[in-house]
Amino acid sequence: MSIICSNCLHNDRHPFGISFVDNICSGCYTHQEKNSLDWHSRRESLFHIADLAKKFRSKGLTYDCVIPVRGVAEDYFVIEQILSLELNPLLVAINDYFFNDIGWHNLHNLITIFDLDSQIFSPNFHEYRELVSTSFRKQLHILYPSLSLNCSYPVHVANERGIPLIIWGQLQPLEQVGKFSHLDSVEMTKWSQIEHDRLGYDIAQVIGNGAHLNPQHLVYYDYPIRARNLGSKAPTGIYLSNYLRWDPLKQNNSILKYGFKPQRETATFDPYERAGSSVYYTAHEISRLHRHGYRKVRDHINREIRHGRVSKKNGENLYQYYCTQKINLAPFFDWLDVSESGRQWIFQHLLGQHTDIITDESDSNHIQYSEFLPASIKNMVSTSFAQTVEFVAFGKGI
Amino acid sequence: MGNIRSITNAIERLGLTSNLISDPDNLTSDIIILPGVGSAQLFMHKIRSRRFDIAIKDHVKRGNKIIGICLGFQVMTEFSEEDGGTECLGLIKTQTISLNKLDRILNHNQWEKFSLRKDDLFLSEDHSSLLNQKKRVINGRVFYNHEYGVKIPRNCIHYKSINTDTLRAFASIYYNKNIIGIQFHPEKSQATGIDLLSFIL
Amino acid sequence: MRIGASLLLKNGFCYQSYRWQFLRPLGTLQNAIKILEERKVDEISIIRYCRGEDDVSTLDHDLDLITKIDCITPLSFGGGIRDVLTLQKIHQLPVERILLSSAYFEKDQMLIEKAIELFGKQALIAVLPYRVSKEKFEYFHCRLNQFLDCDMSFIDKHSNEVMFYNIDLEGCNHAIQLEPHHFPLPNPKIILSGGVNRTFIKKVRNLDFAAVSFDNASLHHEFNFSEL
Repeated sequence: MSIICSNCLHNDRHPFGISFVDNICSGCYTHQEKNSLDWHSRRESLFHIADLAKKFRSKGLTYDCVIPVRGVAEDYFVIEQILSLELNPLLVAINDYFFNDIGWHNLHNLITIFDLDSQIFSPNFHEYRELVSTSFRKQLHILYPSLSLNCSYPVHVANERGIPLIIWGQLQPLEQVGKFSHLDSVEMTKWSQIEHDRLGYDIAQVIGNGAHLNPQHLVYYDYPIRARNLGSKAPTGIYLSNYLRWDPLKQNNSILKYGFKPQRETATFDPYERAGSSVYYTAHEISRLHRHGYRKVRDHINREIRHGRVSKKNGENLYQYYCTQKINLAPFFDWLDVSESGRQWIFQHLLGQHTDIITDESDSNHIQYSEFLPASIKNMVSTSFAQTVEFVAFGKGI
Repeated sequence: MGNIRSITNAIERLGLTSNLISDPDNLTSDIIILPGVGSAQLFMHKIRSRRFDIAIKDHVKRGNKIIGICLGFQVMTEFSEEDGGTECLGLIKTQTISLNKLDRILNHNQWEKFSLRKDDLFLSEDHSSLLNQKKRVINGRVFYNHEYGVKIPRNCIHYKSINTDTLRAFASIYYNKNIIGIQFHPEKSQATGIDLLSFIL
Repeated sequence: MRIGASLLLKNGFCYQSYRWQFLRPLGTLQNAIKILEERKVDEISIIRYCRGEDDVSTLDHDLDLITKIDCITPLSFGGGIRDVLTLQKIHQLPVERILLSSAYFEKDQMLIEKAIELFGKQALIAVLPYRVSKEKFEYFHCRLNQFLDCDMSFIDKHSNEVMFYNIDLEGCNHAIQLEPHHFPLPNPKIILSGGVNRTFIKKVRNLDFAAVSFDNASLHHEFNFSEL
């Protein structure tokens, strides 16, 4: 029999794994730690890490850290914090070919407004699309190649350039399901990337599933084998959410002043997380629902329950509301060049149980908030924009 | 037997296959691997009761290769002190004695450095299925877990001793034409162990 | 001194345990082993989470999982080994050493001798979860799920090494451990576990312990075990 948390909406089925104590899930249990931690001293630890990284800069290197970015709201917040530590970051981004017009605006704006150096990698489009196709066909996961690149490429850059530190935003397994204690101060590791971002397998196993690709072309999709020695240490990856009391909605709302554009969605009330993606709340949403049995908005609702902005009852009603919102897969199938018969096959054999929420239409201009969304949240999410152009192939001219 | 599975897994990792046999009449391979976990007396009792001792000696006489690992190595000697004393196969002219005797160590459960050149193995015929591999030197560490050790006879060139000051009198590896004895566990010595197996298989 | 890692196995999945009270999921066993090997861990202990009576189907499922793992690092396995049949099943696995706990509390001579016969005495590790209360050691009997005394001389005689597992500091790798306790057995026979971190290893490095074993923290940070 499935267990449901008495505090939030999580059940015992989550891709990261979840545990329960007295019917409280590990996510809620761990969230309570935030109330008792000495955040001042944790921030002090962050200063110490920053000081160590700056010493490398003094040895003649230009950058003391890498910040992996997508142009989402969290990136703005992370950069704001890092600049306050007087670090000199190199921003590293991946063009995953799923950016829409809002996404490119936000990424370009990020680089411009903070006036930072950046490196954007556009992988070979045909190989990338082949990987997406294979991973969709076999694992029903369209973002696997994008996640692989977003996880690994910054590590390659840090490794190749001798930059000692990589700074990530939130540690998702901790924030969503309390997979670790804050006190563990978990760092980025190859294990963590495989376990949490790559479904437990590496790119060679994806190729083994029928993609006609040469592994030698896919080096950046995998974690570097062993970073070159930097004082006998590979680049260290840290998560800011281990050092700062993390409240995504509040943080993301605070960075609107920098010109960030939130994206209006039918699938959730949160216009910040993954704003700028053509697929995150469409094709990826349906694949998540199929693989794990829940929609992304549940993570958002649970987050707000834990921060005391939504009651569990309201949260249940909110979730019911968003579960009925439809998903348009046609643009993604167009991008993937799936034939009409192919689409029919997918609906029949892979997504048959979800056809009630699949539609051919999308209208993000007329999104209405659920009546169950409290005013406190509405105030923080009221600014948002509709995407006008999807799958903008910037930088490759394909 | 305990480490049989580990050994077969390690062999498969090299892209080779192995057969597990329980009848000496099925001993038709070019290479025998004698694994060994447990104690010498029980091991020798089982070998003799199933007539494996005769089959093994015939196999070696015909020039075929035998590799003994840990206890498997020890029972290839003439005699083991374990369990009050056990007559062994006699394929290697030395004895297995307690580590406590010479060096006051009860148990050796450690990783130690290990190095070997492929040419040191004096292989008259190279049975390795990895003939074209470029690697000719192993330099790493290997894992030991034993309370008894194979004593190195004086002036014998076929042994490498355990790479620690306290256990130099004991063999880490013995190699003489078609007989190879390994005191450590190559199947559990990570990359170094796999490299060694790739040399000798 | 060997430096190893412990993985807690429950229903075929790895978990992290905090202060003997709270479990968090960790991940799949094979992923954990693969990464620990890459980082040159000296040994891996797979401990089944087993308090009170065990469940045969769960045990068989866990043993089946061990059969399938790919591991070229010394493996110890235990948790719920309470009869000869279980020992015989484990004998078919790629496992080098056996972890017994309740059997030592209960002085199960028959089981221990069978384990010696199958695996050799050098393969036997006695596991003693402990805490220190008013300067006195208290040991946890897993099968009975309570703190009980144990016969240390029996344990010393019938095991190759003894793992002292600090349950107060379990999972607290951030804690600053004071000097290690004065244990009732000589240091070369002891494996220390529970709250082990890199700072602690530096402290005990020259104290002649047989080994230390990281619990949860082995996968939280990227480091090479051979550099510790």
